[in-house]
Amino acid sequence: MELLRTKNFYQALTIFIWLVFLFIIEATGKLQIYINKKFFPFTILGSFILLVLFIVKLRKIKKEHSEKIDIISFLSFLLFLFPVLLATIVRPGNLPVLAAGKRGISQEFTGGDVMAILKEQLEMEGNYKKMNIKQLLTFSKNKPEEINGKDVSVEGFVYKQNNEKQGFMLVRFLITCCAADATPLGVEIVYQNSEQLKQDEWVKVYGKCNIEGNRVVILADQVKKTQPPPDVYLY
Amino acid sequence: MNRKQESPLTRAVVIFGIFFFIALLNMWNSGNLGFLLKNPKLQIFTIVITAILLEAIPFILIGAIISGTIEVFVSEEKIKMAFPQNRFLSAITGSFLGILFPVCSCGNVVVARRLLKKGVPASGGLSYMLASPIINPITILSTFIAFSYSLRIVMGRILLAFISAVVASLILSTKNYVPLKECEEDHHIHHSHLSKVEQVFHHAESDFLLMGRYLVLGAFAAAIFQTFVSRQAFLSLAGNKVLSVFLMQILGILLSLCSFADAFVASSFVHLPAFSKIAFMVAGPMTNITVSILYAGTFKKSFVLKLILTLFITIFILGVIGTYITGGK
Repeated sequence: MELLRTKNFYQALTIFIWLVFLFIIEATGKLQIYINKKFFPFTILGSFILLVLFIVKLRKIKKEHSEKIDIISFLSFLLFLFPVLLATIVRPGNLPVLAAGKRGISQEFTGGDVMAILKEQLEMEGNYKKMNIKQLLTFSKNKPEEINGKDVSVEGFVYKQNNEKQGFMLVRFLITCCAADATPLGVEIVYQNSEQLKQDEWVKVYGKCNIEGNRVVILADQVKKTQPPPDVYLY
Repeated sequence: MNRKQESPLTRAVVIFGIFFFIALLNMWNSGNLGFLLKNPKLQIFTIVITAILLEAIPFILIGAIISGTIEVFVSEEKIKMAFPQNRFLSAITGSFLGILFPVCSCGNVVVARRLLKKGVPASGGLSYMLASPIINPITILSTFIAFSYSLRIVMGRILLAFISAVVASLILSTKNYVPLKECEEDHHIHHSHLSKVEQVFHHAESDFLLMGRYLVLGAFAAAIFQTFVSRQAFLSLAGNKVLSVFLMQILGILLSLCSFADAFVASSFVHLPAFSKIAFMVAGPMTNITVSILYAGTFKKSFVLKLILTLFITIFILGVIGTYITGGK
């Protein structure tokens, strides 16, 4: 029982809690809600370092007499605990549509590896070229002739700013490192029955792509409700 | 903390805490908390704070291992020899050291603290801390890609980061001294019975636990901002050239993005002058909320205030000059 009041115990517990948290988040596939897949190896490396730190700490607890916990160290433990508890209790889903409004939807996309995006093989879905919003915006800027007036299919979630009746904005979040830098990319959809669609609902749009100035506008032939894809973010 | 000394109040608080926790768990389990937990603002806050931590903690840990290795395996003499003793040359050397140690803006504060403790000239340690998140191969490459291979933006970012880091580190190291905070943990690592490798991990653990708590506080503040303040509102105010440099610096500070990613966000501000975006990409990694709170865990408060203020003014002046030279394009 004496051990429970020592500084070493709370420090070991802090490392253990984060180790378990990282492990659970990696094992359950929740990591992709938070960070870009290309950073996964770093998180795994982080878990490994935490595991080593934990083992070394346990050896230290066995070998050394530890001083009693002070208020600063206890508050520090609570501080480390807070985000873990928060994420465990809230169990967040994907970034909600509110974040798109707060961050402002980009209808132009200049970043990314343009050459690689333009070279990507596009599948066909019937007569429709299957594209994502990042590809659409990249083509519209660099090779507009490839998409202007063509039939495309594209998926995303519905964003309605002023409860528009004739259309909506189709949006996907693009993330580079983590959800903190998520930038909403959007294309305008003209659709007569848009009042039937709810905010934040995932849909697949089939229609004719038009480039009007710097904007991509899709005149929808059909809008199908769909489940969010396994990769909700674009990278 | 003897059991006999525990007051009835402490016991009551503990019992109340346990009951409260069980009640909360029960509500959560039965789905009654759903309406509260599905609140979009709470969801955004939780995602952003967790995302920042999940992304930064591995880098803090890598920084802590590098820091522990430097502490145990590199002697003070060797470190001192690696840096020129002249303040100016040392600042220049420090600002390019990120090319060798690309640790990103959170991890490198841990490394810089260790270098300064080891006796690296103050101007060199500081300029490394400030410039390395920007002047490193990963950030340079990501800026290059984000701005469709625009050499102008990449060179502008490197130049602004380099000058700001050198100027700030020279101004703040006049007596070759920076007031590092004394850290209790540093005195508690007894080496007599530990192998060298174990010593590295003990130092790493101490650095992680010390800087990690500041990282949590920083991520908390950044998540509050991202949840409640609109980026759009900032962008709509940035019409005037001078004002846009100022506002983009503030936005960079408040968003607390990783320097590997901020260029992609900056490139989405398509209508702003290039140097407003560059000011955003320099002020962010050097002075953002998360990193400023990490500075506060490393240096004395008055020094941190001077550091942030000096950087803010330098970046602003350089940003405005850059905007006028390029004609606001």
